[in-house]
Amino acid sequence: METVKYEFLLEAAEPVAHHAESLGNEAILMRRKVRLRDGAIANIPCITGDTMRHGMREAAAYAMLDAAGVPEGGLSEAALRLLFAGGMVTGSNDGAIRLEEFREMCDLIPTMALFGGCARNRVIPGRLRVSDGTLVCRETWHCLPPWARSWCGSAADEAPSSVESQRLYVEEVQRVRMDPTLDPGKRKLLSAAGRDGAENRLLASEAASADGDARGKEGAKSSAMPRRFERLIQGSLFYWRVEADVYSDLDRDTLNVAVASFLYSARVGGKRGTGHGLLRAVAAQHATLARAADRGQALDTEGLASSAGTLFRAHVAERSERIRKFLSNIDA
Amino acid sequence: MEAVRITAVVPGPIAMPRGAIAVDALLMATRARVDGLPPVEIGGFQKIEIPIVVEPSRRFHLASFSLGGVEAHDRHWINRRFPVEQAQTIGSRKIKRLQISAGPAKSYRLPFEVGYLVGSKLEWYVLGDAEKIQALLDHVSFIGKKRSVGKGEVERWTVERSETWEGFPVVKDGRALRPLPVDWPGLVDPQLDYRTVGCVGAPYWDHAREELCAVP
Repeated sequence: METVKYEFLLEAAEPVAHHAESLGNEAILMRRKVRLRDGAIANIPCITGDTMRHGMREAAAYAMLDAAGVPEGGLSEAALRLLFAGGMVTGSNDGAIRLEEFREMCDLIPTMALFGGCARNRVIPGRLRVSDGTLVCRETWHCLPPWARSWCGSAADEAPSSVESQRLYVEEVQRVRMDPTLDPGKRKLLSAAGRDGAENRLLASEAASADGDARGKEGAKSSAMPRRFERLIQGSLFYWRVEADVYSDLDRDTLNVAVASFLYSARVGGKRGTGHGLLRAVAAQHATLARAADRGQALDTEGLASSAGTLFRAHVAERSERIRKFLSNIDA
Repeated sequence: MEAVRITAVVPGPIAMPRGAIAVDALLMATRARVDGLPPVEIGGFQKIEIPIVVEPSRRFHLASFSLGGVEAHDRHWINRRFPVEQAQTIGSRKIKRLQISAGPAKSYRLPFEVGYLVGSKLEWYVLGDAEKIQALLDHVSFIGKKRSVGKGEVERWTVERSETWEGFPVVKDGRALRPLPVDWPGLVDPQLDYRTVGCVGAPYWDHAREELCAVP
């Protein structure tokens, strides 16, 4: 067994809107506690390991389906659940997975061995450990490895002046879902009945405003919806680490496929349809660990992408018939 | 074999829903990982030798559970969402209707607690071979639950000779440092609970083997 570790510095090519919850109509960024150098604890925005791991799982699943030639419309609900959400313990009466079935499953679906999941009534542990994306800022500076600090401008314990407090990386913006009936031009597109209804509502709203009738105003208000959200600014840097136990060249290649396919177009968080969440790798380190303290070597992320997957694709393509059969019968 | 103190430096969040971490189980799991053994749920439990002394009746290893307090807590979430988008694009036409509020496609968001350790460290005391323990722990970079998503990341391990005391390494000042048989010598007014006393013959989570023990 070898433990392969990849570490990345990711740059937000677009603002990142990875939210934990909404308070009223304001979405709050996902944060996690970090112990500062002086012992105090602060809440710092992050991208959760779950998000990054799910992105890798999804990218690897698409790569596997592509290599196996599984046609669109060829996946059952259980197969979708297994490949894209890790499956579930179904409580099926078919009994536990036997060792030879487990080995066959890992052979047919190499991503399953890496990510783990649930099939039939067993949880299959994965071999992949994915850390949170840690925002590079003054508060997390002491948590960064030396190579990442050097890349950011200083290997010293104190952050360089170019690295700011986390507060400066968070901005608050507002978006509004407009009410098309407020636009006279668009009202002309309405049916006669619809136009009458919209105009009557506007008149009622105006009258209620003039009379100071709060209840009437509430009843006649438009459907425009302003909402605010926090986001991490474009250009923010994140330190991210992926580690996996590999037992064969195929395992290693599967890991490379998962990492490279995810990073090819890594998007995290919400509002992806409106220019949020795109990450790109700007620096990386690679290490095969014999000891946890071993130092890594610089990794060419483009080189990783171009060399990854040769073995994986050949392995999956060779077994494509069996994979399709397996996926059509899986209980997960 | 020697008296050994093991220290793990864990600066970030760690999930320990079952309380303290057993270093003997950790070393056995690591040995299994290194040797590429199948998961215990599928391959069955296999006896694994680790460099820690087993007590004379061969029920448990002479190793304490982790010692160390938690000074801050945080709430994280386990999310699962059925891949609706993929069902619409690459799913079979037989998928006519998805029930996402109940049943197998149900989405969920479960909270779980993580802690931040006092001094960012956990300690264990064991009787064993420090060099071999260090060699195994070098393969361990995450401990606790939810390791797959980055919880319990270990910055470094220290394995060093330790001073000893009466009852080392499983009893200190009359207090159990791991689940022990209630008649174990040196216990004073022990707190009792049902636990699995050791993992020499089966994993700690084998609840069928729970018995009344003196617990930390």
